[in-house]
Amino acid sequence: MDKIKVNTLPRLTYRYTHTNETVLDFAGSRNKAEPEFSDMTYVSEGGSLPDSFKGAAEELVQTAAAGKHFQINIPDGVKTALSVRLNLEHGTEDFCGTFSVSVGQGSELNLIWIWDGKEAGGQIISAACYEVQDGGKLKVSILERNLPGAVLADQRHVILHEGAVCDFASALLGGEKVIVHSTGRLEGRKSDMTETAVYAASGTQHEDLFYHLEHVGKETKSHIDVKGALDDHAKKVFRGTLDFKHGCSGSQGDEGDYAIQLSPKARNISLPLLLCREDDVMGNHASSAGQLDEQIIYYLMSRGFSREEAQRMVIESMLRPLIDRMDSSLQDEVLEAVNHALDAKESL
Amino acid sequence: MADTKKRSEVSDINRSIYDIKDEVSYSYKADTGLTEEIIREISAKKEEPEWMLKKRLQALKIYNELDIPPWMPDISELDMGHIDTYVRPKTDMKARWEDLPENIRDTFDRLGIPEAEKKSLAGVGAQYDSEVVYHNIQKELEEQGVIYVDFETAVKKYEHLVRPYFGTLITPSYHKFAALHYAVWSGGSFVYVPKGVHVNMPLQSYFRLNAPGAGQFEHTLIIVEEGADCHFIEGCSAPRYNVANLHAGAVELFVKKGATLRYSTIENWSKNMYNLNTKKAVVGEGGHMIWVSGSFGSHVSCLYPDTVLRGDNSTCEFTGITFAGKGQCLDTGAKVEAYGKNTSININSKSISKGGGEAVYRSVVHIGPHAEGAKGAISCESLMLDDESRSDTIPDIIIENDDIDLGHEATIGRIPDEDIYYLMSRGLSEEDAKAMLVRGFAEPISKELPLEYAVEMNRLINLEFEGAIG
Amino acid sequence: MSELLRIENLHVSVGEKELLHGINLTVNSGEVHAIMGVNGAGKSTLLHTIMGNPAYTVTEGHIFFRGEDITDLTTDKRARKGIFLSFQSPVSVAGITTENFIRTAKSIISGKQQRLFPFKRLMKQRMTELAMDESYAGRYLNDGFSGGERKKNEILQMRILDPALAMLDETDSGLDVDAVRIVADNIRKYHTENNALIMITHLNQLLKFVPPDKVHVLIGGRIVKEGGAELVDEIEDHGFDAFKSEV
Repeated sequence: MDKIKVNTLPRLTYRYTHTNETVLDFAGSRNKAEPEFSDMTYVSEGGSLPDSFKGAAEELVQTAAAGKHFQINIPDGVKTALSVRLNLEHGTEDFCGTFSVSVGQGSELNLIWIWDGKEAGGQIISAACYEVQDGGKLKVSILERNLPGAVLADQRHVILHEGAVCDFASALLGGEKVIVHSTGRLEGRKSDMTETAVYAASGTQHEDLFYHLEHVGKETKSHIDVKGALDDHAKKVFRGTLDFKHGCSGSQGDEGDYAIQLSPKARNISLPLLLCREDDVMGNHASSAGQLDEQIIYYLMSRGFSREEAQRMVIESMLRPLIDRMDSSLQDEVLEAVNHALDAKESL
Repeated sequence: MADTKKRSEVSDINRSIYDIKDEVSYSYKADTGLTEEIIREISAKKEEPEWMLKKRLQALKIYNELDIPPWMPDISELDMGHIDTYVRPKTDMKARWEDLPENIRDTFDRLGIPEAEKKSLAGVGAQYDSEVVYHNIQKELEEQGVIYVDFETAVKKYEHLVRPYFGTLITPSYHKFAALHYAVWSGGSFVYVPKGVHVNMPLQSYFRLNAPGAGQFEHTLIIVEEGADCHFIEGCSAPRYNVANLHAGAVELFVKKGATLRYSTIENWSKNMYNLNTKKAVVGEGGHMIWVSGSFGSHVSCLYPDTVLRGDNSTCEFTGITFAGKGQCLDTGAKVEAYGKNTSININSKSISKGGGEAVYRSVVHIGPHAEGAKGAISCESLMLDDESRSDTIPDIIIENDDIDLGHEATIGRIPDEDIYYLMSRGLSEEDAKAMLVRGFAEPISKELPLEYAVEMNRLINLEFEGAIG
Repeated sequence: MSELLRIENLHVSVGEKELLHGINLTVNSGEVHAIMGVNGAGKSTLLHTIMGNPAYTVTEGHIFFRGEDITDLTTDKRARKGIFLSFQSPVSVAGITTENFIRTAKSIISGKQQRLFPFKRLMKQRMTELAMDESYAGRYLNDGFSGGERKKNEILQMRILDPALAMLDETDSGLDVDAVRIVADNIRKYHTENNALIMITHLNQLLKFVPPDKVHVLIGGRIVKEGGAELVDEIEDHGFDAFKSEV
């Protein structure tokens, strides 16, 4: 086991709070699992990630790169859907691999990732580079579930050209150490990137969420919205950065981080950064942390719901708008996984 | 506004007064650079008790061990080997204003200090270079048992009050510049407000750095005993010099059970100052700590008043504004650590950057595992006045229990075009409209300041907009 | 009656879209003009172009005020010449009190420094006439004001700044019946032979109390019909559809 530093803030702050980065035990991975693609039309094997790919940590990028590299190339003017399943069944402890996803001019890709499996203590270490050409649309729905005790690292870098739209909607409902590292470069004029995530962490689960979206082109838009519930000893670290580069006039970005704390032992850390080198922009951040609104719980209980049912309803109503952003084929599964995750609460 | 021009003498001071250098002859000057010998010299010259010398030497050791924090703004131009750590003007403690040397008095006259005092201020402790040269406290405060003296006097005369507190809240190992401070501290103020005493007039202190290359390391220690309250105003202004100047003061505030302390600062160091100042307060049960802070001057500033809410039901309110103009990097913010139950935290921070200036808001709000019932509202607004400037917001929020209610909001952007147009439709020029909107932006802070400071702050804002109406 | 405002063949665009296609309009002192039309017809665009809103670009034509071409003047210069616009949605500005704001504007527009106490008296009197609570003077400009209060605040500014040309953009919307009457009283008190009004409305509430001398019907960025106060009733009865055929 080595100690590695992941998700380091793009601009450092005080050291005594130990929040500039997360220190993680990491033993390296064996690569056994293979990705299952729903359709191989645009998928090929071979190639590699660009050298400039940063990821959550050098060690995690190297581990991912030790596995196979797949290319998903959607040619210009094509509208298609694809799902990729990373399944860790018994005996296939780990998945390591890298992906390059390219969406051509005016194309649309609806991509679904499902990270799943019963294997306990496995690892999924993935790194993916996404590039969306002029006017292209990329919608990515990610469901991570089950995989007890697993280390899950989703590292991605997105480049958006003129008018490109990219929408990531994640449901982080499995694993033990969940790492998201998303960097986005909104290079083309009027490009638009959204990152949403829901989580429901309990036990000793740790969600470590890093987003760094750079506004480079003019009139670009970004949106980060993370919502979730923390129970037991769960911990969440949110490091979100909206980075307005010089010359990105007319751009807008907002980020939000909302956590409901269900247990006195849960830890909730939030570092929402706004970096700005351009005056003609609008950047907003809002975050809140707290308990469920007792007034609402009381109202629902007066209508006959148990406290637990009422809590579920309030949590679901908070997460629902983000779940609705995911591919419709996943939404029921996600709701089920949310409930399953909330059930996983330690018996007190 | 035009009518404010006549409101106070201080407002009539124009910028050039802040830039006047005096011909000062020094009675004593330490070698540049920092060695154990210098520390011993400083201590001997002050005829300090042995425990203080020990503290200094211990701090020097820590200073040499600590690195410069990697997140800090660039201070590479700062060469500690060439900074005079101790400069003492040729005058001893004076009880009366009239007895001060004429050139020093002149400078203070131009800064409006006697006028300020005439306006029934409670007491004036004006620091000239590193020594307190003038001190006055009104009789009624003395009768109430309030102590307000320069720090050297406090160390000797009130050792029993100073020693148990000094260096316990901000320790030398807090960071490198805190260690430096404890090694070389000189001057500053000591305030003691006994139990139940209400000081109904603000206590004011003016600091002033003179002498090229001089550092200023004043120590401020305020103890507000149970149920007492006090308002302390710290004002800084310094003339412009070419040699880098360093300010590494320390402010330790002890707010006891049920006590209230309001600490206001308007900081306007000259544009070559490295202002690496440290302030920290600890608040007892039901106590209130209120910070009001305006940062306008200096080349580089690092200032994050830190509040430890130790007692149950204690509260902290921070209102701050930072205006970073050309050549300035002002890295400011606030820290709050809540440990008591049912604490309340209110942070309202605003920054303005202009002309290539860099404003950074940096903060920590830490709600400890046993700080149940904590409530907090953090608001942080950054205004960019042009596209050469920079503005960063770096908050760090750590929550370790579930019985809390905390909201944080931050916005960044420029003055909306619609607002400028609306004001222009009422006859204001574009510059006037911007100046008025910026003053409006700063209003929540200026209304917290005493009138003459609020006026001074508005003047500082207006100076940034050429041709703007007063 | 002397000419105050003359607009010749005014074409106005936002971005690449042309919103006004050649407007001609003359307003003399002593007159009350009403511009009527459905939402999106270009009524507000016209008033904001006269006020010099940088969001609108004049691509062709000219605006003259008292014979001087003001087409290229900035907004503040137009205000100083005596043009006033009561905004449909006035912005709120935290940190600046209403009184301080109006006094500053009055000082600039009149060219005379407004002394504190005489101004306070004037302000108080005008607020009483508008049935506005005095406390609004000390509150931040439009900050937390209701829609109706904002509208009254605009009329307050009009009364105090006393412009030669006052343009009212949907001032009656958001006002209850009593408030419309109060605002109308104030408009009548303001109006003399030496000034003029242009009012925009699609509710006609205000026009009942302040009958216009001239009415212009604006549809699709063009003035399609002009006439006297009788047009108001005609529109009241038949709507704007009758004019569409005239486009």
